[in-house]
Amino acid sequence: MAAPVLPRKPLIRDGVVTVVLEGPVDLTSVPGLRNRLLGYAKKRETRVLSLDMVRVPQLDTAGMAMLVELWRGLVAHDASLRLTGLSENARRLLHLAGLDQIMTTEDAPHE
Amino acid sequence: MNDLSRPAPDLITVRGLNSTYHRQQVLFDISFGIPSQQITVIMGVSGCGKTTLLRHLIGLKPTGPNQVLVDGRDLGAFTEEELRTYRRRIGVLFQSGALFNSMSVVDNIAVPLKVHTRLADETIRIMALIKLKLLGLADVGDYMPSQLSGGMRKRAGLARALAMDPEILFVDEPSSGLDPITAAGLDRLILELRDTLGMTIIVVTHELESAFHIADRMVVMDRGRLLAAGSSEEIRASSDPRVQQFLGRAADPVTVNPAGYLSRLAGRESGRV
Repeated sequence: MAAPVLPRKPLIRDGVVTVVLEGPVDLTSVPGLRNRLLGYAKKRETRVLSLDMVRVPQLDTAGMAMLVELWRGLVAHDASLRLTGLSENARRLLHLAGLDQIMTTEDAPHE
Repeated sequence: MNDLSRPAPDLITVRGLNSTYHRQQVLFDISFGIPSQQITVIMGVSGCGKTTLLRHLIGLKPTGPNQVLVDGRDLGAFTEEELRTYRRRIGVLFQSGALFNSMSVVDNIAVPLKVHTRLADETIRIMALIKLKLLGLADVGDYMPSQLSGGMRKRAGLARALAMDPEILFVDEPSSGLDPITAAGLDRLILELRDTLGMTIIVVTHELESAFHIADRMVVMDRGRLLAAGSSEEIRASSDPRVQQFLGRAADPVTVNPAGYLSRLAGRESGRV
């Protein structure tokens, strides 16, 4: 069984909310993760929700669906979603699902 | 990406598997390995025991001690909970596609997620839409299965088999009832699933062209027995006359038991007339 992903306390600066995720973002972890992240996404003060995924070894379809929900919650108040440090496999999946067209991806700052 | 230059470890090992239906033995001492993240094709003529073997591998038919090992553990000794965990790791595309006709395509894909996960309904709906996109069915989510062509129904069935992001995918006769072009499209999809998602895929088929196109490893069965197992090159080079007969599509001579036939005509049970 995969270990649940527990986001560290987010860093909030100038409307940019940065959350570091750790562990698989998948069928098992998404139910516990979704509402907390949606809370950040729906806040009016959030201009950008930045997810640091450098410690995420696996992203499955449940994880991608959650990202779509976050993106929806953000664009509803003209905010955006930024994903950093995605693995090559996660990038490929996002591309296959057509999600790279609606989400900004960046390399991790230290890469 | 799949690296075939290195031998992949076996995810599933079949070791001396025997099986019976109504006290009649239908599988005899079957042994082979299913490597991780590769495509294994199980071939043979109709009635050779392919589907029975598949039922053992997915845990639908009870298996004797140490005859099927998953990750080195005896499938036959799995507890109910362990079987449930194993079934969450696998997806199965049955020959018929097995879609619920009373539900839209997207709702069909959502069924296993609603039954087996704690995901929110909206998350599940988006997951189903993503699966449809991956399988080239993005525009038909609201259709009913009866509104789809045979090839689309098959792909929708595959989308449902993939709903839980399985690690292992079993596909029973993917090409059956499909025209050659649609069948080739399904073969390409199976290869993409291996290459992009790193899935372990087991395909049961009697379609030779499809089998040689997609297989990393092949298993050839005949009358409940394993004739040969190996790479497609090894199977092509097999000296077994039954393998060569299968590959050459040569028909068996028709054999008749006249006493048995006459007995049945006479309405008797035994072969004596």
